[in-house]
This record gives sequence, structure tokens and C-alpha cells, in this order.
Amino acid sequence: MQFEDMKTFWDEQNSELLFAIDKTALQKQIEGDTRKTYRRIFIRDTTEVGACFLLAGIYGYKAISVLLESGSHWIETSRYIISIALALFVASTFIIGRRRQTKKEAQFDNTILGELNRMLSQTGYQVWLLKSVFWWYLLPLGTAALLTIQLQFDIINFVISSKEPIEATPFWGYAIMIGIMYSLIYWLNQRAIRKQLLPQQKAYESLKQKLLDAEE
Amino acid sequence: MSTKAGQKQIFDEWLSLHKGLLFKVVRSYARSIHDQDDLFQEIGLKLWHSIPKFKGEAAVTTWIYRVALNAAISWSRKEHSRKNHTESFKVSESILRSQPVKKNERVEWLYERIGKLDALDRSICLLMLDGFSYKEISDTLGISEGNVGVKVHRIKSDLIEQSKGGIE
Repeated sequence: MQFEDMKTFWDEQNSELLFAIDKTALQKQIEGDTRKTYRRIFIRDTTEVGACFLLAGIYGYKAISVLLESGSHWIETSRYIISIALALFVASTFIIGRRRQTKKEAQFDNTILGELNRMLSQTGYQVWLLKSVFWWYLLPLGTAALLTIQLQFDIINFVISSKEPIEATPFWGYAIMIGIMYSLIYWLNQRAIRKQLLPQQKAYESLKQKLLDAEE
Repeated sequence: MSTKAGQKQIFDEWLSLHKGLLFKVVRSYARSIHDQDDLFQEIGLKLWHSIPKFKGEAAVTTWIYRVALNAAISWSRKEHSRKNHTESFKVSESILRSQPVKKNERVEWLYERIGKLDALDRSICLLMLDGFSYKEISDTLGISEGNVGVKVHRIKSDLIEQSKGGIE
């Protein structure tokens, strides 16, 4: 059989529609999905960036309180100021990184190759973000947590509403606790790269390779 | 007319005029009715969000094909990874209702063959069968016409070769 014959019977189906569309349900689904996407982005941004701004605010409040209470306690004040800078550094890494990525993704056209490039760029950005999580997230926030150790105890006391302040854990004990927690976060991030992102990236790359295999 | 009302009007128009094209994509990339429904929703969502970006530089059919094929290729990837990770099924209202149409054996045979191609070749095969020119296929895929020619030739030869065994 020739290809033209296949085309002829392929065209026969144009007159017979196998499905009917429930337009109301589809519209409802689209609106629901769009709302869900916006909500997911809002929650993600609030938890990532908002948490850093909240921390910076708490550190700022504490720095002013220390200054007002005890005058020229510059060592303690400077710890809070450094911590503010570190929290803002993390927030700005999130914001600048995402803006750059959005700009980059907008350059891709809506051809299949463009879409593959967009997905590759998106996955590449995620891989970079998680691979370097120690430098832009764990190290700055871990340092801030260690610099403001007294504040952490105050917060714990406030949260558990203890009348008697909890006994101060030795600095090294606290540092080990932070180290274990952050190592776990680091391990989870690297695992996500290995198990999800790299296989995804490989699949997109092989699709792109296949698309371009006979390109001059 | 508000932007959303305008968008809805265009969307309804595209759905009414080009639903045949969308069904072809859906049937080529998904087998079960559940999957076809899921993919159709995905395409509908992408199509809805593509309306503000449509500036009329490409023909509407080409634009809709691009959006639908991109959604289908991306859906196939997700579907593959979902099956690998045995995620739970998304439960949602059905959008597609099967119509009582007598099945065309030859068309079914073609869909079966298309279903055996990989995600990219399926898109080329669909465009070929719908009579798109090399230039239009190359614009949809984002690759050169020469490359399209090589791929089209290979897919055509494969289909012709397979048809020699007879169409069941």
C-alpha cells in the first residue's frame, strides 16, 4: 500500500467524531488547575522567600532590642546584622535566580524543539539550585543559626511557653544538631538530583538529540 | 468584552473548529479512555494558556498542533515517570464522552502503528498524514526542512513496509 492510500483513509475519520466534549467540565477543570497552579506558586514563594524575610525581620527586631536595652553591645548587635544579611542573601538568590530563569524561558519559541529546550533549561536550573544548595542556602542559614544561638533558645522557650527557660545546650551540641539537620536536607536534595532530575534531563536530551539527528 | 470573556470565546471557537485535530493527537498518544481524557485535559489547559500568546504569525491549525503536540510529548514523559514511580491516579471529572461510531479498521490499524512510534516520530507522522508541508512540519518542530525530509522518508518507508503484511 502506498502512503497516499493511508492518507486517504486517515482523512475518512474527519467526518466521524469519536468523542463529545463536555465543555462545562473542561472549563471548570481549566479554572481549577489554573487556581491550583497560582496557589502552589504562592505557597512555594511564601515558604521560601517569605521565611527568609521573616527571619531577617526577627533578627532586625532583636538587633534593635539589644541596642536599646544594653546600649553599645556591638558584638551581639553585629551578629544579628550579619544574620540579616545572610537571610537576605538567601532570599535574593531565590528571587534573582527565578527572575533570570523566567526571562531565559521566555526566549524559547513554542516549537517542539523550543519546548524541549525550555524543559532542559528548567531542569538544568533545578539541578544547579539543588547541587549548590550548600553554598547559597545551608551555609548562610546555618551560620546565621549559630550566630544567633541565644535567640533560638528564646524562640523555643516562647513556643513551648516554658516558665523556666530551658537549660542552654552547649554550643557544640547545638552545632552538631544543626549539622545533622542540614546534612539530612543536603542528602535529600542530592537524592532528588540523582533519582528525578538527572534521568529527566537525560530523557529530554535524548529526545532533542533524536530531533536533531539529521540536522545539517 | 473582558479579556477572559474574549479568551473563552476564542477557546470555544478553537475547540469547535479543531476538535478533530485534538482527538487525533489524543488517540495517537494515549490508549485507554482514562489516559485519553487525562491528556485531553492537559492539552485543553495548555491551549487555554496559549491564547494570549497567539499573535497570528502562524496559521491557527499550526499553532494548535504545536501546543497539542508539545503537551502530548510532555504528558508522555510524565506518564512514563508516573508509571515508573507508581504514583496515585489523578481523579477528576471526565471531559470526553465516547460517541457510538462504527470503528474504521484501517484507521485503527494506522493508530496502532503510530502508537508504536516514539513520541517525536508520532508527531511527525500525524503532521504528515494531515497533509502538512515540509516547511510547516519544520516550523512546528523547530528543525530544518532537510532534517524533516529525512525523518518523513524513514517513517513513510516503515509504514509502507508494515502495510505489506496486510491491514488487519
